[in-house]
Amino acid sequence: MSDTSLPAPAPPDTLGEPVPMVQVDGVSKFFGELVAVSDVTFDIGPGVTALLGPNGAGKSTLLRLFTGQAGPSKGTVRVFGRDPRGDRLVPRLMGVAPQQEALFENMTALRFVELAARLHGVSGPAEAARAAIDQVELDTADTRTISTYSKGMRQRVKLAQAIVHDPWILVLDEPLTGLDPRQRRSMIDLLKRFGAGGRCVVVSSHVLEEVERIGSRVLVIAKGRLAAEGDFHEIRELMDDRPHEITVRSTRARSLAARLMDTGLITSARLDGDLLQIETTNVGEFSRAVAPAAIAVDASIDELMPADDDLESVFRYLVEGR
Amino acid sequence: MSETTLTGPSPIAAFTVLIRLFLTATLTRARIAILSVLAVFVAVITAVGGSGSDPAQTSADVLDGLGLAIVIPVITLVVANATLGELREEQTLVYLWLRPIPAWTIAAAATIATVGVTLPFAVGAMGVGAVLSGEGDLVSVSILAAVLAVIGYSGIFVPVGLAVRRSFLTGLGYALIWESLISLLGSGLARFSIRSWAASIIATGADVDLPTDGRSSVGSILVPIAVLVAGIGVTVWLLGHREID
Repeated sequence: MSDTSLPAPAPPDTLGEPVPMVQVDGVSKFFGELVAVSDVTFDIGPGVTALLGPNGAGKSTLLRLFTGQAGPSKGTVRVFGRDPRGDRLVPRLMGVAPQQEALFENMTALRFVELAARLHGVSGPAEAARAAIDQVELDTADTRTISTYSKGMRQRVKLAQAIVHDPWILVLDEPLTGLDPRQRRSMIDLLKRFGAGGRCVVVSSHVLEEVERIGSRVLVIAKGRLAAEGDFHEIRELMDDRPHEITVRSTRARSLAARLMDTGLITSARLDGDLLQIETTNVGEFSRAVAPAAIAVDASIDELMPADDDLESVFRYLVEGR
Repeated sequence: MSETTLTGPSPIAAFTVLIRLFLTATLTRARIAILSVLAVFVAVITAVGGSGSDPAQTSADVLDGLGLAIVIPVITLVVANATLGELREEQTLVYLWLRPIPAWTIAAAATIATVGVTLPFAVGAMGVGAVLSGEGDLVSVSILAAVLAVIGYSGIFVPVGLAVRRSFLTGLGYALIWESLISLLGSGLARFSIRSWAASIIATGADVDLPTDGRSSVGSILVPIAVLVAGIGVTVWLLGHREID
């Protein structure tokens, strides 16, 4: 096999183990005193993989390590066994849509995507650019420059330039940001089609619901560390099974707390006037039991709300166990 | 299992695409207007200065002190910064860097586009200024000095655009402080000044007295070219070693 040829990846369902198109081994990345990524190891194969984590978790840094835009301070990153930082063949294999909005503002979308096609050596760059623009549902006849485009249109231009050379690996940093619901559906369908063809799609997001729809495989990144990885449903269960804090405002709060303790559904209760802070690992059962418990002790519930249902607290639990 | 051939464009094809890109990016109306005003300014001041008691010497002083030391570095900086410097600051360099093309094609295209766009303005400023001064001996050497200055300054300002933040201000500081002032302080320091090598061409060719120390004409031609080649080399190194946003 020549140095400029690589085997096409087989579809995931024909392989016992997914092909590790991207390998990350013991990777850390420091910016001075700041640890952006800390000792992370994982492989990514064909299909759609989502990097999930709060803003500032290290997702974009990881993606930049995949693409070779940055080098690791420790550890190794390999794309098809090649160093993305030093091997100029890697860009041929990869399509990248970075997070930043800026594009070549004075060009039309078609010309910008055609430029990408030419610099990838695509034969028939004009036709390839039109096809890519069509795929992301932009207008190939649009004569406006990119400077006039909305955020959602820019996202689609970024995706078009990333797919114009038909890459094996697609790396997209927060690609759904700025899209309206219909555009999101369309983008997610496109990514799934791409992943279903045996290619590798890596998408970062800080929105749990987005990841639920995009990725069958999820890598949860928090504070630069790999907090969890696996099938989305496993991750979701892990998140749902964590201790949840719930705030209840009630008359006769002390009696209500005692009653709820008797049910065994709460692991702790803290009383502060008429406010009751409860911790439970079974939100569903607790929700069904709280009203009967209040009736039983002749209390009324004025307020009942989760105290930690935001994504940050989920990540905090996964990383720190609290 | 199927195979796919993974060849990018030929280096020449990539270079051609990039040259067109950089020429289009640098030749905006606003930039052409600024460069034209600066070029006309040099020509007019040279013509006015050339009416004194020693018109050849006065005109040469203006072409050196204003043209080679200030205006040519500034217009080269304006153009050079519009190639890689602005792309880096706007975080769009990644759209060239992520392509399967050799880094030298990017570096060489940016540098040669800078030279190509700047030359007409620099040569126009110096050539027209020399013609208007009425000193025939100054014309050809001033044009040659302008060409060499543009070549040398391009070799400096293109990599500066990649190497430092606020590259325009950094380049402006270099032009106004180093090339205009510090290089006059001594012949040792002047050897690290593009202006002095270009000026020596005028001093030798027009037999005027400029603050150069009798360089050889061959050296005056080769040094700016060497700076250009070194600048392309540094730009290639920066593209390979710097982290790209």
